[in-house]
Amino acid sequence: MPSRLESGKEYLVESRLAPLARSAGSADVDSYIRGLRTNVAHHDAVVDALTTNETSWFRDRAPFTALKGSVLPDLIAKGRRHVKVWSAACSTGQEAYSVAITVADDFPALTLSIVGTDLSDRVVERARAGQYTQLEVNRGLPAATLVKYFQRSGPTFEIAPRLRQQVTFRKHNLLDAPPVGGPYDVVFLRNVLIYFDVATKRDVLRRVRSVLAPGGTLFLGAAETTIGIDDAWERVEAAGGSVYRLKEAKAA
Amino acid sequence: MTAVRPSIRLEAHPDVVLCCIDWNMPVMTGFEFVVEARKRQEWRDITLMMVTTEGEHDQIVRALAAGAHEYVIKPFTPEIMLDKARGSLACWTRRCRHERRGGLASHGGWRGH
Amino acid sequence: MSAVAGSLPTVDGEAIEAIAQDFFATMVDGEHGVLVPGYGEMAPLVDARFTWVDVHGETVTRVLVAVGRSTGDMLTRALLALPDDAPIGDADFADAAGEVVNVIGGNIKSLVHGGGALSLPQVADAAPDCGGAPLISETWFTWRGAPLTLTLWNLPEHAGSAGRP
Ligand SMILES: C[S@@+](CC[C@H](N)C(=O)[O-])C[C@H]1O[C@@H](n2cnc3c(N)ncnc32)[C@H](O)[C@@H]1O
Repeated sequence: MPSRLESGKEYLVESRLAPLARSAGSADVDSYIRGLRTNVAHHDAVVDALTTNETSWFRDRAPFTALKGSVLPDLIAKGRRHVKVWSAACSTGQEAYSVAITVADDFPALTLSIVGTDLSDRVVERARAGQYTQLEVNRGLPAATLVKYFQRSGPTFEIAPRLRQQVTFRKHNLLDAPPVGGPYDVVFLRNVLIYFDVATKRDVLRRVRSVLAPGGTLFLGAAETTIGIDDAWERVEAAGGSVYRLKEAKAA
Repeated sequence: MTAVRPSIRLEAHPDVVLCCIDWNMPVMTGFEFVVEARKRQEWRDITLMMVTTEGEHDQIVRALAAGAHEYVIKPFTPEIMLDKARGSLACWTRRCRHERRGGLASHGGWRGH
Repeated sequence: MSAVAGSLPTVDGEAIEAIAQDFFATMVDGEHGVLVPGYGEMAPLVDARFTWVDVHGETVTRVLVAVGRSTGDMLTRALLALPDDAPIGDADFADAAGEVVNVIGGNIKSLVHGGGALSLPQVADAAPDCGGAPLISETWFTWRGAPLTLTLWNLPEHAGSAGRP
């Protein structure tokens, strides 16, 4: 996030803030930044411009293989016909919709409700719209899936309404109380803990615990772990992917 | 080389496992190429991937139905290409019983002339 | 919806900008922010080259990119991943310029009513004869400090280079 830019990447700040500076009528980026000290109203926009919202369809693949090959079959074996999912820090929604696609493709009898949340208003709005550019649909979405679940509308591809209806997107800060609507059988919390310090990571994981259904499953990003941060969790192998579950004693 | 049909070039490269095809080409369209390639028994193991600026819903459906395995809409990044190629080659590998090694071929789109 | 006779089709200028920027970010520069919309007075194109495709839809839309030759050479090196000092022959230049307009034009097709076949790209030292066709969109950018223009023209029906089904 903003404070940890590699040196040599300063020009990125310049290029990302330039449009804001221009629309605010500042002479240049430097004077815009000086103005920020006094103009709090612009802070959201700046955080947004500097935050990485990078995401993709079926990102890393393994979590979705695990979902399909193990997590959902287990829930179904337990007699579940409805599953609740929280896609936390969902960015523009690809993760949440990838879950919806997995269920539609392989578990059509299952009903699903997904809550997608993110700190940024802008990405939440985009997720809600469910419209993706050509470049975005190239990232991770097999062509057969694209034509099955998307319709073209002008320059963008629009997700099928029946999938969009399964997902609710909301603005939410991971540092606040978890979103209502739980407990969740599956929580995706990927590629966001990396931005936090250890104490904050621990805090966020503790909050996730409080809304995880008994036996529920947590997915973290490929570079993230609970190990050494919150001992309540254990790592479990599931159909080729790693997932996290609460240890027995705590889950009961 | 305007008159050279892309199919003929492929014959000179029996080690090709993946073929990237643009839609817009001189001589024949990429779509026609896929249709023709799929008629050839000896090419059934080649993975065909459309890589083109054409991205209409109907075009993607037609290309897949004709036998293309994947479809990349330009523009793309190296990661997107690798990911799509890996995905479709994985399908190919699963289909293919014996191990085979080979290179990647690209048919240079409209630049074929 | 069909275009009303006498009125020009409208295209979304912001979407056109985004299409060009996505192309440069992915296939030329590897990052966003190098191709930026120009503002103020545009510097003249030095030794200009022109490359275009025609989108056949309800009408024919010509997508035309103009760039100075030496900027075009840089663009060719970036797109074809050639070394910084590689000499650029006309064939490489035509390849790269054609690719630019093929991708941008093909993407713009989705913005054009009834967008159908796309022609093969043309490259020339002079602006193509658009037969007095009206300009429907004009955008200019700076890329590595040099200007590059992207214009859309509404050609009379049955004009333009042939497209393919
Ligand atoms: C790199 S993206 C990851 C998106 C997605 N989870 C994935 O793995 O593809 C990180 C996202 O975290 C969001 N984010 C950052 N800090 C946050 C916070 N405190 N609360 C909620 N979301 C946050 C950002 O807005 C951004 O969309």
